[in-house]
This record gives sequence, structure tokens and C-alpha cells, in this order.
Amino acid sequence: MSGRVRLLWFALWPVGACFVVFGELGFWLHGTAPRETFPLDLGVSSISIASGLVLWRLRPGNRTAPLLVLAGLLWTVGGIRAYQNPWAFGVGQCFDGSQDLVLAHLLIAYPAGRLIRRPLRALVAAGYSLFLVNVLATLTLPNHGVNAFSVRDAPNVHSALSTVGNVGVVVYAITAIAVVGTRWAGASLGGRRVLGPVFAAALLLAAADAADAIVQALTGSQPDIVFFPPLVARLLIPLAFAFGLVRARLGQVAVGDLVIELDSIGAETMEQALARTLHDPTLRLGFRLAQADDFVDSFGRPVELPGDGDNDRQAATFIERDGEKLAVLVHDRALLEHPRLVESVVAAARLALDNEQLQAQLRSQLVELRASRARLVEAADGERRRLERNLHDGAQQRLLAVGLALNLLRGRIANHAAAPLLEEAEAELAHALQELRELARGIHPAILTDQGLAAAARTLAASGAVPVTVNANGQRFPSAVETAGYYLIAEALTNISRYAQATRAWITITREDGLARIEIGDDGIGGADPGRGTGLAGLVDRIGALDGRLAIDSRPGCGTTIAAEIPCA
Amino acid sequence: MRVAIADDSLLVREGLKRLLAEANIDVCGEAGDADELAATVEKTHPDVVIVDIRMPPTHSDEGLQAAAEIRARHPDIAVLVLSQYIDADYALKLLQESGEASGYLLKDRITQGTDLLDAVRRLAQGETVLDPQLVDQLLARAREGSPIDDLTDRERHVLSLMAEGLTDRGIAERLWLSPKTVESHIRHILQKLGLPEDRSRNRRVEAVLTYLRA
Repeated sequence: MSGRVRLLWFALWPVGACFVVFGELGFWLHGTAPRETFPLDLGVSSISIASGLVLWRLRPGNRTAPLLVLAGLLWTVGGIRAYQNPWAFGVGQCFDGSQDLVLAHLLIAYPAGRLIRRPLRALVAAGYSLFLVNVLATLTLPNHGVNAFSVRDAPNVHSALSTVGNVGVVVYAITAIAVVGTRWAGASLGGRRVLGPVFAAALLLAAADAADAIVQALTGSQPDIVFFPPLVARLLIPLAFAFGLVRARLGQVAVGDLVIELDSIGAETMEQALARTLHDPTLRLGFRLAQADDFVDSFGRPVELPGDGDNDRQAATFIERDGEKLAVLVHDRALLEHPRLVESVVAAARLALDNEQLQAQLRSQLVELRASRARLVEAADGERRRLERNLHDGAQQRLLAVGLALNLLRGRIANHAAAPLLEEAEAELAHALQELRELARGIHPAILTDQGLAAAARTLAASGAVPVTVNANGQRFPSAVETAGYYLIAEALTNISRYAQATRAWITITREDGLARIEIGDDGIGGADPGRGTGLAGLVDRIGALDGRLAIDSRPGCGTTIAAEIPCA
Repeated sequence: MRVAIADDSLLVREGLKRLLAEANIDVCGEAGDADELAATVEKTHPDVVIVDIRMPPTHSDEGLQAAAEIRARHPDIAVLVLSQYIDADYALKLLQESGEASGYLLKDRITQGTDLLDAVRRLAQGETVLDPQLVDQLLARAREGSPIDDLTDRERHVLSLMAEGLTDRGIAERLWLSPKTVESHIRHILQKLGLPEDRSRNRRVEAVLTYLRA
């Protein structure tokens, strides 16, 4: 609500009150209708103005509210005829019935509050022309000292104009109700919730007026009882407008719930949640296929986009981010009359979709990352195996052949001066072979491939400084798991002999529930820092690549336990 | 004495052949893989087979399996398995599957003086041979408070020679002791470790090895 409109809004309260007081006072003092109807009459004007003003505040963009206020003001103007003043009579006579024209306008424009389609605009314009007919009829009404507006006493013209006016009003009323009825019939459940109360009140008013007319035609008089139904109907109409629109606005409160709901549901139920919030069971949610303009629902079925024509009962609202279409809502066209509600729902859906998409992306990236880590480890292990094979088949065998030759040589130069040199060469060779063997074993332990993790663990245990008990049966695990387990045990045993000051250690290898569990414990000083050195950190990566977990328990004084769990289905 | 050699490295095979020939051992056949070895054994029926543990096609423990098969079909043929890596598991597997007259040596031994020739000769006599380095390794990590701590140095020495598969006489010769002394050492050792006094040498080796590895 802009500043000027806000000022107008505040001003309309006292202005409306003045209109009500003046109009209703005349009615009270000099009116022709039975006094018992006065509270109803007072209610029609005051409720129309008040509810219009309240609605104006709640739905600032909707023109229904100012029109409601206008209808209420015009209702009071009709009342000043009773002041027995020619000028007041003239004004009152001119505006008599004009509030019905505004009501019809309201009805036709409802619920958007504006006339979007040209024929309806023409219809409403024609309706307002009836006001001119009424003014002309007033001008031709005989004066007799009561009508200050009388320009010419022309009873025939006046009666003709009156008939045109009356027939016009009846036709206009029927047309307006037909327009609303058609709209109601074509509306979705959500649309009917908004249109329903107004349509019902309009029908009631039409019926009451018709009854009034019929009674007058039949009896030639206006019994007191016929005054009531039209007034009750008029009283209900502003309330129906306000109620319908407030109800539509309440839909936006449901958006808050929607945001919370969308947060925790999948794509399939998302469509249902959106349909529920918008009261449109026909609503469909389509997700955009990557790099395409086609939309599919959560089951992968194509979602047809409706045409742009007004005749199509469905309309499409796109959920976009940075100008890129993420998804589409295909919904009842009537919802276009609630742009703010649809916007809110779209915003909520966008949040959820973003979330969903981010999660899906993250998930696929994680899967990819894990796979690539596993591939890297696998490739590295393969390379290690190959290196070890090459060392074994190549350098080691050649050195052995050299050793054999030296061994033969020894027998021939037993007492030769070169014998000490030979011995030196043999000793160097033995060292070279030993070093090469250790290098090869570090690159990839042959026993791991041949005999499995338990055997390899025993070998590692045998070479350590601390006595190690190995609890394991000879069962085999996938090679990647065995390799990871082997390096874990090797690293743990190295740490034990370097830092733990342990007197004994143990290794347990078991398989439970599809998990290989490898535990290395010692009775040392504890306090091992998992962050120290790259040994354990590298192992966390290696085990993580296999989707496994590593737990290190090393409280000071309580020894150290390193446990790995690696899935091996 | 007739020996067959199986190793996928031609260089090593040639070297071994020369080394054995020089020691007047007849190399009656050679093979590059386990299948070839089986055929050679059937054809030449050697006294001892020297086989590398790692041979085609998988380069894992073909040698162990070949040894077990030969021992099963020809109990009179002794097998010596050479391995680049020393490992108690391999050794135990060999003892369990191939029984007596089987040996397990670090492959480096072929370059070291008469180690290989001694082993071949002992195997030909039906003895069991285990690499001293394996035995040392096992003894070195015997847990604290183990009965091994109660052994005297001499007894420990005897124990490691037992584990290497030496006979009582072999131990006596190696340690310059009388056979009677060795016998009494052995009785003491078995008592202290709580091992049964088994007449079979191979069983004795296996028992000691199992004890040390536990």
C-alpha cells in the first residue's frame, strides 16, 4: 500500500462513517420501508464499507476492496432521498440502485478484482450506462417541489426510461450471475472455494429481488415481509466477497506449512503437497529433463504443457532459477487469479527443488568420488603388484645368478689371493638381495596374494620386536580389503615397536555381517596421535576408499587399539 | 645322487645346474613350470627335486603345490622348496602337506657356500630342512615369560637346530657334542616346553615350529 493510498484508506473511515450516519439517518427519519428493517439497512452500508476497508488492507492489490467500499457508500447515498429536500432527493434518486451496478461489476471481476477479458469489460461498461439512464429518468421526473433535478416534466419519457432502466438492471443481473456461474462451473476445487460464497450470495440476492418483483406484480403492493430477504442478501454479499478473498489469502499461510513439508519429502509426494496447498487436485509437477525442454513427472512420464489460450482450463507456471527452468507446475487457470499465492508456492517449491537437486548432485558426486578413490587405490595396488613381479622376475633372479657364479668361483680360487675380494663381493651381494627383498615386500607382499591376510599378518607379526598374537582363521577377503588390512597392520605394528613401549600386541581378523574387522591392539603407553605422520592418515584414505571406517582408541596409559571395518559383501 | 630343478628363470637354472654338477650331483632334469616339472619327475624319477615356490602361471605358491603332489605320488622323492621370502606359513604348509623329506630354504642360500648342497644331501637322507633364518625369526620373538626363557643358551641352540630339521646326530656334529648329551638336551627342552617326545623327526619339527609361531 503506497503512502497516498494509505492516506486515502485512513480518510475513508471517517468519510464512510459520515455517509452512513447521513444516509441512515434519513432512512430512519423519513424512510418508506418498515422500521424493523433499519438495522439490516444500517448493516448493509456499514458492513460493506468496513469489510471493504479491512479487505483493502489485507489484499492491497485486489480491486474488489475499493469497489466494496464504493458500493457501501452508494447504498447510503440512495438513503438521502428521504430528507424531503429537493436537492437531496435529486441526488438520492440519481444514485438509487447504483450500488447494484457496482455489485454486478464486483461479481463479474471477482476474484481477481480486475476485468482481464474485453467482452466482460464491455459488459460492465454497459452496466454502468444504466446509471446514465437512471440520471436521465431523474431529470425527466416531475418536480412537484421535491425533485430539484427535474428539468422537464415528461412522464412518458420518464416512464420509458424507467422501464429501460429496470429491464436493463434485470438483464444485467442475470448476465452477471451467469458469468459467475460459468466461472464457478469451470473452476477447480480451489477456485470454487473462493467463488462459492460470492456466487451463493449473488444467487440469493437475485432470488430475493425476483421474489420481491413477483410479489409486487401479483399483489400490486409491497408487504413488509418482502423488504427483508433482499436486505439479508445485500448484507451477506460484502461478507461473501471478503470471506472468499481472505480464504484465498489464507492459502498463503499454508505455504509456510508447505515449506516445512517439502523439506522432508521426495519428488513424488511433492506434487501432492503442492496440489493440496493450492487446492488443485489436477495439479501436476514436471521436472525438466537435462539439456531438453521436455518435462517429466517423478515417475518419468511426460507432462504436457497447456496452451496459452484463455479457453484452456490449465495453465503452466515455471519454477526457474537464474532464468533456467527447473520444473513446471501445470495447474488450474483459476489459480492465475492468485498470483501471490502461486508465487509463494513456486518459491517454496524452488527451495525444495534446489535442495533436492543439490542433494542429488552431492550424492552422485559422492558416489563418483568413492568410485574414483577405489579406482585409484586399485590402480596403485595393481601397479605395486606389477613392480614387485618385475623386481622378482628381473633383478632378483639376475642377482641370484651372479651369486651362483660367485659361489662356483669360490671353489676354484679357494687359496687364491683374490679370495678375500670374492668374499667381499659375496657379502655385498647378500646385502643387495636382502635389501631388494625388503623393498619388494614393501611394495607388495607376495604372501598376501598367495596366502591371504592372516598369513601375511603372521609374517608381519614375526618380524616385529614385540611378541604379537594373531587371532585369525585363514579365510580370504577381496584383494583390496586384504591389501588395506595388510598396510594397516604393518603401520600399526611399526608404530607399536617405535612408540608404544608395549610388551605384547595382538591382531584380530574376523568377518561379521559382511564386514571385515581388523583390530590391532597393544598394552603400551597409549596416547597415539592419529594426526602424527602420514602413515595412519594414508590408511584412513585407503580404508575410506573401500567405504570402510577406522577407529583409533589410544587413551594415555590404556594401550592403543586400532580397528578397521571394511565392507566385503 | 640325481636331482631335478624347477625354476622359471633360465639364468638361475643354469647356475644351479653348474653348482650341482661341480659337486658331482647329477642334474637329470629341469623345468620352467609345475606341469613341466611333473612330467620330468615321471620321466627321470630323481632323488631330490629343487623347486622355486613361485612359478608360472600365477607366480604365487605353485612350488608348494608341486612339492605336495610329488611327495604324495612318490614318497621316496625328497623336495626342496626355495623361496625369495621367508615365511612360517609357507614352511608349516609344506611340512603339513609334504611331510618328511621336504625342505624350505631362502633362495639366497644357493649363493652361499655349501648351504644348498648340505640341504640337498640331508633331504636325500630323508631329513627335514628348514631355513635357519626362519627359525631365528621365530625364536627372537618368543614372548616374554614364555618357557623358552627358561632354556639355557645351549638348549636354545639345540632347539633352533631341532627346528631346522637336523637329526640328533646332525646336532651333535654341528655343536661338537656327544649324541648322548644332545639327547638329554632335547629331552629337557621338550619337557620345559611341554611338547610330546615324538620319535618322528618331521613331527618334532612341526611341533616346535607350531609352538614357536603361536
